[in-house]
Amino acid sequence: MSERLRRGVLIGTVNVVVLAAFIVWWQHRADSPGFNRALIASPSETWVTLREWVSTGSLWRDLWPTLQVVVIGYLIGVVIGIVVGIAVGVSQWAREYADPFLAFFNAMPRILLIPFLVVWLGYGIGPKLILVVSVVVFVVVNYVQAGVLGLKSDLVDNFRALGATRLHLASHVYLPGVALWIVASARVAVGIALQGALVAEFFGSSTGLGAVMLRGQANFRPAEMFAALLVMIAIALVADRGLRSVEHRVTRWMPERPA
Amino acid sequence: MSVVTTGRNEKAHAVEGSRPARTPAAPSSARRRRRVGRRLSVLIAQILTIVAIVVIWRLIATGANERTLGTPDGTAEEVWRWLTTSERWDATLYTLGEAAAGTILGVIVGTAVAVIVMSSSVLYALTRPLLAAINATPKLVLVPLFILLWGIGSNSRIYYLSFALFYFPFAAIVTAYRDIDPEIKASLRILGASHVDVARQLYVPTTLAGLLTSLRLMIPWALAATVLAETLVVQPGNMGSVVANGQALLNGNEVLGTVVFIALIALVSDRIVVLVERRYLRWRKR
Repeated sequence: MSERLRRGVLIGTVNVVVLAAFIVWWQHRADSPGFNRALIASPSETWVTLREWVSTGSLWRDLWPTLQVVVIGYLIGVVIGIVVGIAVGVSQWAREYADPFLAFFNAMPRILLIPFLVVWLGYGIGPKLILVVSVVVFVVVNYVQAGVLGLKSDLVDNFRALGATRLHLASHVYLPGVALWIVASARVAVGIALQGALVAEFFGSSTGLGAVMLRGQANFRPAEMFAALLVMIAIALVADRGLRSVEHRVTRWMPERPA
Repeated sequence: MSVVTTGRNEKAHAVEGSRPARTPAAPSSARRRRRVGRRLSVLIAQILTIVAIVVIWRLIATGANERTLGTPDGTAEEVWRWLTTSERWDATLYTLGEAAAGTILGVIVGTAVAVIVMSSSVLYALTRPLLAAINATPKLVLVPLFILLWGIGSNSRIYYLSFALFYFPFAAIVTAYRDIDPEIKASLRILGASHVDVARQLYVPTTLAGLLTSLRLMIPWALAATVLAETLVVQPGNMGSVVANGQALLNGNEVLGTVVFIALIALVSDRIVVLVERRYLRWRKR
């Protein structure tokens, strides 16, 4: 254990040193003549912008719409994904029926439709939600389908033999089994929802972190763009870490972890 | 070659296995008839669904706004234009060329990073935070940055794609390597295989299998990202310029038709990868 701890500390130290060296190098490059400040911000400028955002509270104001889109979009996507996933997992007919449609919509570059969604639904939360839902659904369907197919058929047969109806099966076997896979898929799905929300904001919105990034870029204020990017990466990393530990805790006992 | 039956293989069987499990070894004619019946009912339901979508779409478009909503016939016409006009073919090939170049570069980078990082556990632990950060970055919003850095030509798009895509093969190869049974590796060594033999017999096939898996995930992504990048800097002669034109004029048919056409390309490419994968896996099982 202490061996592992020492190793962890060592690796952490090296990481911090490398990161610090990189920031110093970057600052040095940015301070030297001939550097295009309209395109790339220096670390100090980015830091100043971040501090300003925190002190004026604008960080929270810009972050809130993004998080709203992520959470609501994720929840809608999970609900649709569970319904579709159980259907295609339980019934072979549904699977054969839905396969081509799912493949087609998954292959469609939905991001190109954002300007139209904005025209149809306005500059509000609608277009962003649709994009987020449309990416989350596929992840959830895949996990839930795999989860239902992976349930022991003995278990299902026993339930049937004891007189369970389809509804009983759904509520006592499939849903609990699937709930597990929803937790297991949360890391991937939330990550993808976050990316979808930011992209939607970037290409068709006036609010949110993605819009802040676009504004910084369009107005040649790269510090704002970099600061927004840093915030995004930080949020994505924190969410990924948190959900990874949840996933690990929930799936630890499983002989086969979800892929 | 049978040494490389990784866990992935068995997993695939486990998922597929639930289907053949119920059918006995020799399907009776009644069973076969039932299967044919199901196929038929599925097909009819699918056709009905498509017809319903087309009719509802057409009705809404006629009632609301044909231009921005697009129409089924207009969209089909646009797809047909993509398939039959030589200018559009040139644009398609140009865009596909960019997407392919970016994907290949991304695969090379991803494979190299995976092989280097996995060669030592210390290196793996060291680079993990950095790679996690890259993975967490929303890459589509970085297109403009690449245009700023490398100009508005094809090169910036290809560099961007390789950056955006490299994580797919990287993750797939890392997973495939971790799935390798250490006993197989030990057995190979005990049986007198050199490091080169182990690399050739164990790691090269594992890498290729991982790459094929990741390719299926990369294709739709690569196409969407390439066309999106092309719409940001409009230059005639690629698919993105058509989309940008449609977006600017709010011409629903033009954009929807292109989106459907891209989806068709992605589906066809996916089928090709699946065929290659099957062939490759069969060769591996022998």
